[in-house]
Amino acid sequence: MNYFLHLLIMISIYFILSLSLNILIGYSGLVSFCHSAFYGIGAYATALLMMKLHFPFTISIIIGIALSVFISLFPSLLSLRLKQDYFYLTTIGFQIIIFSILYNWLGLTNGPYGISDIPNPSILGIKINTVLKFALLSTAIFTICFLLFWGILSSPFGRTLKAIREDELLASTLGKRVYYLKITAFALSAGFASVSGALFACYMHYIDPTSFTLSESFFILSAVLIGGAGNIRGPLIGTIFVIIMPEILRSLHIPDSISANLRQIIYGFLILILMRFRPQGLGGEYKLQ
Amino acid sequence: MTILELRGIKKYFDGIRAVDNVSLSFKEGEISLIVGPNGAGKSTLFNIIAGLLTPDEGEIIYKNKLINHWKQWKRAREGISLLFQEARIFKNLNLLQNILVAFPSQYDENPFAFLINFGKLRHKERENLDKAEQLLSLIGLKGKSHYKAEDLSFGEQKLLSIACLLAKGAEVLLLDELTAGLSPQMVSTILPLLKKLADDGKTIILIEHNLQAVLDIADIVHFMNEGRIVASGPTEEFFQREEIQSFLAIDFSLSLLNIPPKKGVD
Amino acid sequence: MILQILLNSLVSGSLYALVALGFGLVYNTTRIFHIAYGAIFVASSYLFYTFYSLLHLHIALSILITLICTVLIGIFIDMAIYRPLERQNASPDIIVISSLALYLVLVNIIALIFGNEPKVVLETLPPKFTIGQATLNFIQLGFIISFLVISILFFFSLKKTLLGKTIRALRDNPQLLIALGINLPLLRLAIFLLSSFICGICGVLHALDSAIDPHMGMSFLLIGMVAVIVGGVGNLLGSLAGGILLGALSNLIIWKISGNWVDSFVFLLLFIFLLIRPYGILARRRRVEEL
Repeated sequence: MNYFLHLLIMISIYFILSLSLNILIGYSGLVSFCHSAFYGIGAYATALLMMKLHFPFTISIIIGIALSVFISLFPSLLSLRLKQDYFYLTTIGFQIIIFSILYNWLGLTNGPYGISDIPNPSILGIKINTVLKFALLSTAIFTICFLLFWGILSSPFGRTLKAIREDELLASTLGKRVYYLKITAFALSAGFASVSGALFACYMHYIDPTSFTLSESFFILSAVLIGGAGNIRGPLIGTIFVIIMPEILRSLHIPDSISANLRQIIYGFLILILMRFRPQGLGGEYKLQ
Repeated sequence: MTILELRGIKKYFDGIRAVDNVSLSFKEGEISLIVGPNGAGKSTLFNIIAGLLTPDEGEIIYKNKLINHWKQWKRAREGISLLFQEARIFKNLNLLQNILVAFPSQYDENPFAFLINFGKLRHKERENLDKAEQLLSLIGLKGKSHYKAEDLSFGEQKLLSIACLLAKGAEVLLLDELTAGLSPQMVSTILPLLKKLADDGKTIILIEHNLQAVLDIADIVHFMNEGRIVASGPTEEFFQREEIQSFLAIDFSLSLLNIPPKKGVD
Repeated sequence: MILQILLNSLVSGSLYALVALGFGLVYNTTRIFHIAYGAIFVASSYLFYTFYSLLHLHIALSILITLICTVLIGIFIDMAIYRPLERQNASPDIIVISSLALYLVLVNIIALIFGNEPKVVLETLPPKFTIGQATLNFIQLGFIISFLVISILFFFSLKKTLLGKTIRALRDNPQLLIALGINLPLLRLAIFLLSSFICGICGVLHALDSAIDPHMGMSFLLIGMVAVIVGGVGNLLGSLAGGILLGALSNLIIWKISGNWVDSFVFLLLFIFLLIRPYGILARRRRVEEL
């Protein structure tokens, strides 16, 4: 039972991550390689605020969101005015810088040793101290996020983002402020990613920088691309796929040491095939063209 | 009333003078026609007015303001509307969505508008939906409103992009090869529309090779060649001039043979 | 002390410059963001390790076979992945994602075969000699010599040979080249051949110089990419210069701050560069559309 709940929690966390990355890839047409950086910022911000300043979970999560949104301005203001290629390089670079900070700034983040004993969150006086309660919490938070995503993406804002994805130049000659909208989309996706980070930190009670690497960004990217970008159900399908896959490998008794490498090979291979033959993924709408 | 004025516009590409000291002015309610051979710089001029290109020299005055530093989106919001030669549309969106996007809206830029302004947003969306359907009827594509834009024929895509311009709201319409790719039927639907817009005080500037179609509605004609305006005049007497007729003999026969204008420096 | 730093800078700069050159060669001509290049680098190091350390072949033979294999891998990647995608008009996004996916697949296959822990090729330290107060070993000298030889060859062939001129023309005007009857597929083959060859040399040199692990490619790749942009997109010799500059910078950072922060500083430099001079050294104001 606990195993099932564990999966449920991880799936909720990754649902939020993939839906938020989808705002960039599927709706704005921006391929970002730094999503796990914001995931990490949310995780560390929440953990540190709860442990060092004894802020309650809800306040910490909100501050984490604000921090992510603010930090997202650095890569976005820098590179969104320029060619696509600069954006790729900037997001990769930003990911690496954030990882470096998490790994090397021992005073703040405890570096490679990570942060342990992250306390259980408390919501409205109820201490979330069992897996079941956490599963309820994560499902509730996911549901709120999901409703927000739905609202945002079916609104004029979402429609305008799609237009930008299709033809930026046309959108700007129709009066849309493309640059400003892209920055907003980027900030939105960063904010939601940090919610996932907060959930992750409080569930695992331990975080270290190795959960927030470029590989992790690619993992989230895989979830979006395999499931398909551009609509709501694609990333959900993809997330379930990439979360279930390692479990299948485990049930085939493949040792964990190999499993990490094997997973990357499988996802990478799948992406290669999908990009070539079915860029809209399993259930998506947008063909990344 | 002069709404748009170009003063001494020059644009060079690698040493070639695409636009060479062009000065023109356009009045409200006027329909102007710019003709000339391929590569004369007509589309480049449009791109400069719309803000896609910056002139190397010269000023653009719109509604008595210097707008050289205005970005594309600002010019668009203030009424300058460009119709691309290539019939640009949002391919993967359906027709209705294409037009809905084009409506100017203060809710476009706010991701949380649906929370904050729920009632007003819904009202505006309904309004826009009605207007969009009206526009689709106007261009005869109401039945296809849920088709993906990329599934339309070239002519239909052109009509769609015209509808989007109308949805956006235009004071000055820059129409680049409007009739290219449109069937005579479609042309006869559009032209009265343009005339009505002009009567309502909008300014229309046309680049055309298909002169037959537009001669009736154009007030003024400008002849552009090698980046310069070589002749201008009211339509009636313009085409009586000998030098114009010889220039056009070549161009006219090209358009009769339906040779599409070359995409290039123009 | 200063001399040692200078020499170290030249040594690492040489490697970065060559890495940048290989990446820039592909990027400037085909506009492909060749992330898989990083995997080719790792592959060549491990191939050399296999032939030299595991199979105990003679060093010259090992290098030769490694280079041949590396070139074949590079050409295969272009033919099997990039060309089919371009034929179906895939957007740059799709190509970049595929390239990254390919990088991860290759690097993890190598990790599965050889393990994730570092391997050492040269068990004993190579002979060194001193210049003043600084020391240099033979491998490091090899870095510098390779860099100089390849740079000079490139400098001359870009200006003088047909291949060089066609490479320069390819970026600016592919249609003209077709019209002139130049065989584009053959030219592209040559480009990937050269790029992978240079990558192979880098991989071999690096394997001789330090321990190798499957995940080392990304660092070098990133520095190469930054060097290409800082040196000026479209300017191959600029990529070389960018590499030297970054070599110097990284040594300075290692000396004054710590090895951990090198990557971050390299990117910081990129970001500053993007703020001030994003168009590259060819500072012509570009059409808004082209950006």
